[in-house]
Parts: sequence; structure tokens; C-alpha cells
Amino acid sequence: MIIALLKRELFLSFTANGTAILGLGFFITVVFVSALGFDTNSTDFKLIGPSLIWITALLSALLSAKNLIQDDFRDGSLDILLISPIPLELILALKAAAHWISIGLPIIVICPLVSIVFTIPIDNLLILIIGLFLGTPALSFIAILGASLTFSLRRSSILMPILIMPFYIPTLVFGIKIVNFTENTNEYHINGLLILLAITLLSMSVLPFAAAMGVKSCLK
Amino acid sequence: MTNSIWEYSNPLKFKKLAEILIPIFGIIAFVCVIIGLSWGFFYTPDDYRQGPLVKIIYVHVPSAFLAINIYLMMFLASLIWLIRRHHLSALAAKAAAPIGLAMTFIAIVSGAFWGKPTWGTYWVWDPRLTAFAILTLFYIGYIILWTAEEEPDKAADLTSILCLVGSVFALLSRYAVFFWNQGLHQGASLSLDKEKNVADVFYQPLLFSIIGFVFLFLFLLLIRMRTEIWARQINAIQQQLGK
Repeated sequence: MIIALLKRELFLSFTANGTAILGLGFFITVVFVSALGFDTNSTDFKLIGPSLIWITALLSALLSAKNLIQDDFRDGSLDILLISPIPLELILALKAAAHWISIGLPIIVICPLVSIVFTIPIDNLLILIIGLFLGTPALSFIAILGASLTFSLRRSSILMPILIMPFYIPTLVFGIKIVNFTENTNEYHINGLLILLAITLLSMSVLPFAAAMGVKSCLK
Repeated sequence: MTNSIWEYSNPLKFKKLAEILIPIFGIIAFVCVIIGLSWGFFYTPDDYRQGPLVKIIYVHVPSAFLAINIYLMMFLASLIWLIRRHHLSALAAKAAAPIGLAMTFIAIVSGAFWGKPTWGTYWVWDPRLTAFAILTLFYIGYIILWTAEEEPDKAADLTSILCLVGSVFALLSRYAVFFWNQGLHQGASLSLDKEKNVADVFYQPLLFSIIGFVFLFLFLLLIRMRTEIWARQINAIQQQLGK
């Protein structure tokens, strides 16, 4: 049943709604266009790459998060999900997991290709990819919280970024600093990655419960 | 009748208490702020390195102290709302948020005026300054979420969840920005477990000023809560009249 639910979410985002392809298209477009906004000949250009990739990953997670619950709410399937034997917390966690598979994972896969234009050194690229891998699940779980708080409100599309962007700060800061920091020791990188993992695990364990509370109070 | 503090979660009882407390708190706030600021501005010596600039401390420290503690208070009020469903608690959190935002703003602006002559810049990406900027964002999100939903119970639920989870992430962000460097800003001016970092001459008026600011906050908070109760009563009456 849980697998069926995950399959449904993945089907929706990959085939029916096409959120996955939209997210990836958004990511590639925004990274390339904003890269042109910087001085491409400057010596600091190498440092901009990882930051741009992280910020754009964050924005793509945010962009597609709005419909995570709202679509189900509008077409009535949220009510059906609520009467299923699976607890709402788990449903929301599965939604977040599907969101990560359809948005986060494609970004990680395309990241080496995108990084070519920034000429990121291979060591930094490796750390960037591991960082994205450990950090982006947190973005999806934070997105589900934002979706649960705003899905029944009128101005939800503009409300989401204002509410949720501050929550992305820890992930963003650690994700970028471990790639760009001058102190390039192994221990330093491992510590940074472990903290990213810790933030992700915290989000995974706490946020589905908070989001379920939000959904329940909206449907009361 | 039990004499517990929860008795005052009844809005009518609370309003009666507020009528008594508002003038008292107002007077205490006024007296303490006047004593603290005038003692601080006119009767303390200049710092041997910063000169008269050090006197910004009497505005900067109390507002920064309140900016953080109002968020803490909102956290507790949200928790009480989610657990015990006292409407007054949700109202308190709602009423406190704009005051907290104003205090954060005062702390940042007074800090900028202090920073320009001493550090040579209005703003640096120092951990403490960044943490305050982040706090501002959390306040703004909280206030905006209140305005987005008309139904008061639902709005209280959503904002409480945002406040509770937000506190965790605000704390995380604070440690995230503190992780790499200590920055330009000095350590905490006041703390319970360590020796104080401020010289005695500056310390006493500063205490007055902090007490004054705290009572000013309570004064404003009670006024805002009373107004909010009135607004809800008007709303209820209008609904009864079949508007």
C-alpha cells in the first residue's frame, strides 16, 4: 500500500503533471541564464558555480512544492488519502520522498554536466554532489511543511517562498561553505557533510509530523 | 474557584486585569526608560576608546535582548495554544510579533550606527548580524501568515506550527552562521552564567534601560491584546446580527 502510494506520487510528477521535467528545465535554464549575469572572465567565477547550483536547486524545490498538497486538496483525493489506514504523517513523508526523487535526484544527476561551464575542479565537484545528495532531501521535507501550511490559503504561491526560504538557510550555508571554503582538509569536509546529513535527518523526523498537524487544522 | 494562572485565559477576566496592569506597566516603563537613558546619556563617562559612542548601548542591548526573547515568548505562547487551546495565548503570540520585529529592526539600525564609526561599516556579514537578519525573516514570515487567513483558529494553528518549527530552524541557522568565524561583534554583554562583560559604570543604567524596555514591551503587548479582543468581540456581534 505504501509502495502503491509512492508509485502514485511518482506517476503524477513524472508523467501526469510533468513536475519532474519542469523542475529540471527550470534548473538548467536558471543556472545558465544567471551565470551570464556574472563576469565570466573573472577569477572568482569558479566559486560562483557551486553557489548558483545550490541556490537554483533550492528554488526548483520551492517552485514545485506548491502543488504537493494543493492538487490533491482541489480534486478531492486528499480526503480519500485521509481515510486510508496509512497515517497522514507517513503519507506526507512519502510525498516528500517522491518530491525529492522527481526534483532533487534529476538535479544531482545533471549537476556534473552543468558544472562543466563553471569549470569546477573535480574534487570540489565530488563534494558538491555528495553535499547535494545529503542536503536536498531536507529541502523536500521543508517544502512539504510549507505546502501543508499554505495549501488552503488564497495567495499560497507568493506566501510559500516567504515562509519557507528562511528554513533553507542552514542547508544552503553548509552546502556552499563545504565546497568553497579555503580550508581544504578531509576532516573539515567530512564534518560539514555530517552536519548536512544531520539537518536532513532532523527534517525527515520532525517535519512530517508538523506538516500533518497543519493539514489537519486546515481541514477541520 | 481555583486560583491558577489559567483563570486569566478567560478573555473577560484578562481584560479586567489588563485594565489595571496597562497603566502600571506604562508608568514603570516610562520611569525606567527615562532613568536608564538619561543616567546613561548624561551621567556616565565616555568610553576611553569609543568616546560618547558607547552610549548607543542603552538602546542597542535592550532592543536586541527583547528581539530574541520576544521570539522565545512567541514560541511558548504557540506551544500553550497547541496544547491547551487558550485563545488568549494565540493572541499574545500574534500581538507580540510586530513588537518583536520592531525591536529587531531597532537593534539592527542602532547597531549599524554604532558599527560605522567603530568598525568602519554599517553592515558586515558577521555571524551575530546575520543571525539578526535571519530572525527578521522569521518574524516577517510569521506576521504575513497571520494576515493570509481570516479564520482565527486556523490561522492560530498554522502560525503556531510555523513558530515552533521556525524556532528550531532559526537556532540551526544561528549555529550555521556561527560555525566558521566569531566575527567582529563582541561576545554577549549580559549572561547568567558568566561574569558580565560591561564595566560597572555602564552596567547600572543599562539594567534600568533593559527593565524599562521589558515593561514597555509588556505595556504594548497588553494594549495590542486588548485591542485584538475588542476586534473579535465586534466581529462576533456583527456575525450575530447576521451581517
